[in-house]
Amino acid sequence: MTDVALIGSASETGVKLRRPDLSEDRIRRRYAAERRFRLYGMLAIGFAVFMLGFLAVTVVLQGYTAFWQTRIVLDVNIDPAEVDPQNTRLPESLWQGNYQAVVREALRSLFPEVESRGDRRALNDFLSNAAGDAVRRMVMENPALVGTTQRVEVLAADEIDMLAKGRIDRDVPATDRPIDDQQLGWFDKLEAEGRIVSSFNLDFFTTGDSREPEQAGVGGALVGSLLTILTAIILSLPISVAAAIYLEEFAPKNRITDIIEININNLAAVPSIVFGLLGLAVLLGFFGLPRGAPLVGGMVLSLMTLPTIIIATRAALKAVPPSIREAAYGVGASKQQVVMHHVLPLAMPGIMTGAIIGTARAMGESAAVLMIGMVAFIVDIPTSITDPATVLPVQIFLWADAPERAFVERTSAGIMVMLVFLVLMNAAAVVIRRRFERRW
Amino acid sequence: MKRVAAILLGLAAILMAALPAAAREQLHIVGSSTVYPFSTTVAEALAKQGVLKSPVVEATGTGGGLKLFCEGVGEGTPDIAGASRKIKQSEVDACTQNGVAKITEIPIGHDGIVIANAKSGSDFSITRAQLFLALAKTVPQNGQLIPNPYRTWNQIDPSLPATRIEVLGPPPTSGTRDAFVELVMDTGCENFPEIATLEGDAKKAACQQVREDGAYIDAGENDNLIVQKLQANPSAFGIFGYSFLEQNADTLKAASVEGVAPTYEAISAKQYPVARELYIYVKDAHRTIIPGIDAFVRELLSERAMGQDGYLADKGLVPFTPQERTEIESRVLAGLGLTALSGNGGVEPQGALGTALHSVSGSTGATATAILVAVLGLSLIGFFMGRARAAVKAGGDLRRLHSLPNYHGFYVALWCGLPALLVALVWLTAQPAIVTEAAISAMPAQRVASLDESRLSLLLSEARQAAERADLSQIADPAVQAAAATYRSWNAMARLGAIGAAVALAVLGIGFAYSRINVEARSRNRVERIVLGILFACSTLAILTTVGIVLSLVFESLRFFAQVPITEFLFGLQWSPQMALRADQVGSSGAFGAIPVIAGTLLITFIAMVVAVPTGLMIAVYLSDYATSRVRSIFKPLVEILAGIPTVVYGFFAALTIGPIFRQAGDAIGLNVASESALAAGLIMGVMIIPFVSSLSDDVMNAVPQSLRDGSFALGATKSETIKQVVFPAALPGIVGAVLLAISRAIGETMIVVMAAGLAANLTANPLQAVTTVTVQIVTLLVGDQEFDSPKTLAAFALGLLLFVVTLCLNVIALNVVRRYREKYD
Repeated sequence: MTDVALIGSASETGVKLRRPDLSEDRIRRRYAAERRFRLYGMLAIGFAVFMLGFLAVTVVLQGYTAFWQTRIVLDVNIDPAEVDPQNTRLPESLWQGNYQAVVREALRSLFPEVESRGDRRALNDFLSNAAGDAVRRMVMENPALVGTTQRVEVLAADEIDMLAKGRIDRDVPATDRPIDDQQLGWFDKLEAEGRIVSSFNLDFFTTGDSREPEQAGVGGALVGSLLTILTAIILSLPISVAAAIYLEEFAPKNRITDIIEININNLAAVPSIVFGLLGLAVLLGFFGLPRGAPLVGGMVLSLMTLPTIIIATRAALKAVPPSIREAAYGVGASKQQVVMHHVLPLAMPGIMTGAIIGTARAMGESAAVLMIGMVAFIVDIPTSITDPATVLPVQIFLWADAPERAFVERTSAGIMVMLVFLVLMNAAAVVIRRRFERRW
Repeated sequence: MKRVAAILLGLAAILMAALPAAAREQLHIVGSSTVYPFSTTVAEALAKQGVLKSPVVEATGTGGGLKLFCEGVGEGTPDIAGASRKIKQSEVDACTQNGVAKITEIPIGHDGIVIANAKSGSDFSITRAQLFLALAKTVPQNGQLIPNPYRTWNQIDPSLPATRIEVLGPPPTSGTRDAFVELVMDTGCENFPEIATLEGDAKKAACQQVREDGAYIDAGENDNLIVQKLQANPSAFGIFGYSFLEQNADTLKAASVEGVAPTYEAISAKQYPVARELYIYVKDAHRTIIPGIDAFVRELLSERAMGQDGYLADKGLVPFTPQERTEIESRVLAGLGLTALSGNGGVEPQGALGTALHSVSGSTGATATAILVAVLGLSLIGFFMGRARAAVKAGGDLRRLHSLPNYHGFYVALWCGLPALLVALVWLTAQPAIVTEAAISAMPAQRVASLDESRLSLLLSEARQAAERADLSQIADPAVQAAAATYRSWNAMARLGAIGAAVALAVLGIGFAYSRINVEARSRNRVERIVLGILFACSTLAILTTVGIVLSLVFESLRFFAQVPITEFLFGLQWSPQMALRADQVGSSGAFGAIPVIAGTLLITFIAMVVAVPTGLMIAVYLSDYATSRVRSIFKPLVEILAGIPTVVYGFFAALTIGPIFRQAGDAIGLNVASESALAAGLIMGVMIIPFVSSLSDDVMNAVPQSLRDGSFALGATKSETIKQVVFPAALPGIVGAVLLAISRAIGETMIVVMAAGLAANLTANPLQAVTTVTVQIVTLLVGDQEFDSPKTLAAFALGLLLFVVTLCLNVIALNVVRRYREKYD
């Protein structure tokens, strides 16, 4: 019993029961219905595109400012008593100098009226606790600078950064602001003197996580993602291509093959969190692999991408026309030679497209890696696949968790970085498809 | 093809180079999310100074953290736990029982627990007795304890506003919850003679049980999410630490308790009644095996961290007075036998040790890399040798060979590589166990016999660390010294042995295969058989994965069902898994009826489908039958982008943008919309699923042959009539399949609901209410503290099994529907 047959019989009986209505009125109604139907289609697309745009605009508006970082220009007197008390000028001793104190002194010298201890603390709040790093870097490069006065751009604290970016509402009562009226006055003075500058935030891409928003970067998570994804693709690409070749070209029609095929189709629909549970119970629980390591994350993600790549590979293999195979058989190739020398190379663009799309999906995956503990706070950029690490989506999840308001823009900026990577990967897939895909 | 293989090999080489040394070098810190910012800040300061690799810090809640902390000694357990309350005697007992004999307690400062709401909400001044009446499970009335009848604040006391009681607070794993119960509930309930006269457990239950009817919402360990939800929902209150209030002072305000507002001064002067001390606990036994614990403690206690102007105060900690701090510093350091950090700077000489540890070579990873490189190199040589040999045998006339020279080359390479790598794999897997056995036997036998398992493993990790560091003669404990010496010599031997065995086997393999090459040799067939075997093995990985999933889920679920009857799980109407972690804690009652969770999942899935199915179908119809190819080429990828956006992004969009919009819209028309309404999560999930429906239905509609359409047009049907009456029915099985797959996807979706849906298991069909889902519960139960014998953790696996079975069934049905009803057009 099929639907087409049903409709056929219905219209047959309809013919007997009533005469076709060919009046203008009915035609008009039918055309109106046609237009409505078309409109529904456009509305549906409009809705989807609107949600996409809404999401993109929200993220960009919240996050674009994170790519700029506010710095304060100070004339820093690099006092030897602070940075090199033993007066050795040796790198080890210079490295340990108290550069924060030097920078604080430079800021204080701009506001001679600041005397009391409380006020000095309020002024120190202008500086990030990594403000001295810029001076340290300069001195390490050129020890001769010790004792001189240098114009340095030092990192501002996150509240000042937010203020400079206009994300702190000046109109609310001072007690409810992270910046009080006095600090606001100092800030305006600094700004009037042109000492508040804003520059591209390169550190955001090179540093790891931090509790201080102004020092937090996606570098650690990027490297973590990269290590995880590399592990995943190295494991999953060869295995899934091999499995696909077997199933598509060599597998005999028997029970085992059926079971494998059903399994693969089912795995494609298994929720990612279940793969996470598998990783937790088997990889961490049974094999005792390190918690939160890219190695484990990569293994779990490779299992997740396996069905995607297998299915894509099979489709690509299937798309190679029989004529190619027959021609190869015709010149005496063995079955494996046909597949390995002729079919597989021709299917390669399709396979790569599938692999890249599968990998892009794995890159955005968070539920599975959450289960295996890639959620710790890690400052260091991971250097090996067994170091604890986070991945980009989990970093985003973690930042959204931080109490500092400045992390909101970092979160959105992290999302942007991740989306850029995904767009690049998908663009690569499209380029490969466009350039190498053959129509037979 | 070759290029792809080369790229993969190159990538693999990079990864192998990134293989690590074996022993753990970082500190592992767990514990309270309130202490988390402080411990991470200290950790970061240490890492910045280059003293050591930065510690790994996980927020697990105080209870969960101390549980992990007390699980035993050795590299697998945390070194330091942060706690937002003092450790309980029951936890100390658990520690002692598991061999964690000595722990050091470090008070780090004060923190107040605030009851806060959004700036736009009403001002509040409340007493602890009123809070108790608002939040207790049972309240006294007319001399009896009855289930809490209060729905709005003014029912408790007319002076309070007439808004609904809605309090977001921490779960039982949290120390904030413990402290809140202790400081508010226990004190509050004393005001009622009905309870004050009770004794023992009855009193404890009456005082400490928090209502479970939705007025109090377990908001998870994520304090910041509470803050964000409060901003979205002016009538709700949140319970969290003072530092969060300080950070969000411009959007939140705190209620005064007993007339005292939570301010910095009031908390440090101990006037604010709901204030507590924060603690960090250090496992003394780990100080010898994990470098950096001492450095962490000294940094933490120093003036620049814990002092009045220290960086922890910047993070919201209410510090001790200078006298208190100095006293604590000297007491703790004296207890550990350390000296204080002087002044403001100063890097400890341990930096050198840290780097020395880094440079230790000869790890298992390095051995594996060496073997891989050597064997692959030999295989390559073997390949060329085999090929050359074949050419020689053929005497210049390659046609005489049975197989092409390359096959002979591959044959030699396979014989060289496969056995060698297999043996090396087995060797390196077995090596640690064997070497450890040897190390144990090297220790004095009566010493070993006197140790329990965790003590022994601690000693062994100490020895392992020592073996990789410098001078063995400096080790005081002779047993450790002997074990370390064994570790060093045996490991060196075993690694050399592994390399030797692999290389020898490789060479033997080359020799064997090389000798078999002649004109008649059927190398191609042999190689092809091996290749086929490899291909088959790869394809069975899918089965292995499924088996692994099923086994792990079923195994843990069976343990769960041994404790909770399966009928209660499947048909129970109460879901409240956050049961007591410790014997002396009163948590929720621990009900494991999954019906509310399943109902919540279905509600959200239904909403998602209501959004996704019509939209997806209309998009498919429009793009396949109406759109010009230009429009199609623009909008089809655009729609598909929706499927490529990571779900974590959707989660934040739903939680922080869509949720509040719905709530405000609801307020505007007088509807009460929960800030975590099923509607917001469902809508966004629907948007995510649109492309699944649209591209799958697009495929099946395109598969309907043009002849059917042409026939319909010929009868005078309009395009929409053709689609509705011809194309759509013909494609129906495929579309049903697509929808079923989309449903299974929606059921299994995790991040959107984790962020945007609620945690409280309400049994409701109202889409404006908060509901919870299966995946949310799995994440909440498993992230953070895990304990593989509590029904709470095991429940996650039971839910996982449920999820797996349901999605599996949906998928099988989808495939069958498609197969059974598919029109055969060809």
